[in-house]
Amino acid sequence: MSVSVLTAPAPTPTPGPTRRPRPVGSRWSMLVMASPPVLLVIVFVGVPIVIGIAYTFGYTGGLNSVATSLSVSVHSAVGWGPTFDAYRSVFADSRFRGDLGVTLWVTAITVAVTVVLAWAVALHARLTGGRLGRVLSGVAVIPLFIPIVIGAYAIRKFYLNTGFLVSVGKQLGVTLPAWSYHTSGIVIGETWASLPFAVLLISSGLSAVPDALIDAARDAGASRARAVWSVMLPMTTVPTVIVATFTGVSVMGSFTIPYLIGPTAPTMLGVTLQQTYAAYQRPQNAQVMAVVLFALAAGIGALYIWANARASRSTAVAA
Amino acid sequence: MRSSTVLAVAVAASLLTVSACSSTSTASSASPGSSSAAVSAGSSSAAVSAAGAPMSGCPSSAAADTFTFSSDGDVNVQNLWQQTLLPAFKKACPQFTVNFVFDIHSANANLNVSKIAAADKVGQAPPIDVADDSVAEAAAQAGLTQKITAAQVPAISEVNPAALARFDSAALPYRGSSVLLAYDSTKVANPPKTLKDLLAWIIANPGQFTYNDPSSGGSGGSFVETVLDSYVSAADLTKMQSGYTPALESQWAQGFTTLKGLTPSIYQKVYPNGNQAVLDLLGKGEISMAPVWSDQFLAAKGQGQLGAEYKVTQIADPSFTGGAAYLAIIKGSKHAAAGAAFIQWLLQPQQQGEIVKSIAGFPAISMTKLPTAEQTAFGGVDVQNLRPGVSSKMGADMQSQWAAKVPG
Repeated sequence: MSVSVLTAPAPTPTPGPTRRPRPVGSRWSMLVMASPPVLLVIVFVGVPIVIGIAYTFGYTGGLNSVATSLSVSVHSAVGWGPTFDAYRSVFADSRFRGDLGVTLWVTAITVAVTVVLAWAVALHARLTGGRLGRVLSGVAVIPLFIPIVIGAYAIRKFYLNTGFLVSVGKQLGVTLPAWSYHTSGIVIGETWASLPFAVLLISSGLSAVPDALIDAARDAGASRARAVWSVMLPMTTVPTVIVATFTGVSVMGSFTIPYLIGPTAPTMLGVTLQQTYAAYQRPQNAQVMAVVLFALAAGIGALYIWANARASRSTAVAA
Repeated sequence: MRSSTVLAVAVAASLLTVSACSSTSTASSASPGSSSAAVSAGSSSAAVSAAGAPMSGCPSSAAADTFTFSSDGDVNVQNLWQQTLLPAFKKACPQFTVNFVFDIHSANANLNVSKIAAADKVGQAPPIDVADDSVAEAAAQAGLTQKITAAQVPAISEVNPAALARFDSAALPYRGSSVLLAYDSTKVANPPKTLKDLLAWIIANPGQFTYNDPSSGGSGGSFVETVLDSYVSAADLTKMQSGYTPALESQWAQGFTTLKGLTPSIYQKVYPNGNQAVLDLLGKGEISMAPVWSDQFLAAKGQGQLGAEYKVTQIADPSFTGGAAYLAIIKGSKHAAAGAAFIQWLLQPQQQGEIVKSIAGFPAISMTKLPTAEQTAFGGVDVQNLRPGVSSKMGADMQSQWAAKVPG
């Protein structure tokens, strides 16, 4: 379950009038200096990914032969052409389709809830700047310092049938739902874990909006809501997109929270993937699921690159 | 936006560093000579042994050596090794140094067996010399361990022959445990005595029973297996226990139907992940009956997590499964003599008594051979004749089919 982080392409430098041609030697030394990280990526990330993807297409010999010899069932390609049997068997499994659906739903809802909450907290702190704002943004960042396993365990206990919430409800004569071992519990846990990063990023985005712009809008007769909508929101698009994409990728591939808080079935793909690999001894099927997750994460990554490219274009125009 | 690009690059770089670090650390902890994971420091051990070994003397005269020992499982097993057995071994046999590697919850068991298989394939020394539990079983099943003889480990004659026969001496049992039915005696006056009674009880008391997802721990696995086994003929069951025969899996159909029928009566229709999660629910009073591991139950009682009102019983017809944990010397290991000495030492009555005392594990040798204080530890529960489970590949299929058919 590796999560790839896609970087935006650096904006192409525009040749300035004072630019002198560099000597050829320095170009080579720059290449040498840049090569260690590139080699590291190729050896430790690139090659295993290629081998892993080849395994899903039935290339089960060679470097994959050890995994093949220890697994319960594998689909091997006959001859040189790839086979899609592993994909067929995974997609034919109704449990996988259900889990994929849950994964997409949980991801979508968590991203939406996280962005809205982070905006609410950051905006409140930015606009009023009072004590409540400071307390809120401080509290929102706390989960950053709590290991996810411990947080997930605490959330599970809190929302159990005999947990704090249900117990308080009973005292007041209200029957509250128990969200542990339920998909709602996963969304709560994921939001809790994603919120700190979102609040930090959106707060910093909002604080970068100059007071002068907001004041100018207010002077021109704009309401506070109008100033937020027409000035602050457009200027904080990129941090928002970063929050949404990073949250999306990390939630989609998460394991601990759905494993501890979620229901037995349907659950999120991270859990299914681990069980398929370790308990059901079917590494090939697990890799197929990993490729599916990878493709989805790459889709989100593309969105992120698009947002970055758009932002750098618009700043170029503005400048 | 320059800053976001910088941020993304920084995140990518840190991820790379983490992955690079973890790959080097695994490599170093697995290599026999590394000192980071070494339990005994070597230099101080001679002085300690001069002061006298409190447990029992070293059973071997093999030359000084260093070997890598990997174990896996829950925290109780980790504590057993790190706090009790390995320090005692260091005192008893100062000439041996143990590089101890622990894999919590057996998360990397597959990976470790793959490393052993890969080393065997290219004819290199394996990264592990002596393996415990999951790795030992999987390696023994894949033919990646050495057959142990009475000349290497004389105490082999003391262990239960049925447990020894499971891997044909390619792995030695050194402790055992069984799944039992735990219940809250204040809520359940007459616990079920047979599987049939238990199934009837579950339906009659909705929401009061659960078992963990079989892929996440053996106590739930044993419950599932016991229900499935009740519909399988004895001859076919023996085949399922010793090898991989997918053709026989059609006989599970009836058992899975029974299990599916229980789902509406299961606590919140949830099968929690892990043996411990079920014990938690039991201890919090959310449920009043569940299958549990004997050692985890007794340990939880000892620590006060479960009160005196919680009791265990074994059902009949069929009984829950149980079994031994095994130790194996990996094929191609250059430290087999030291490994054999280690196993011989573990099978001595004092160490076996220590296993009973610290994790309430069943001994691999006869109860009557143990120190007197430990002989009555289990109050008459038969610790030797445990009903074995199906083989690991059959178990993998069973878990996969359970996940597809039972929950939800």
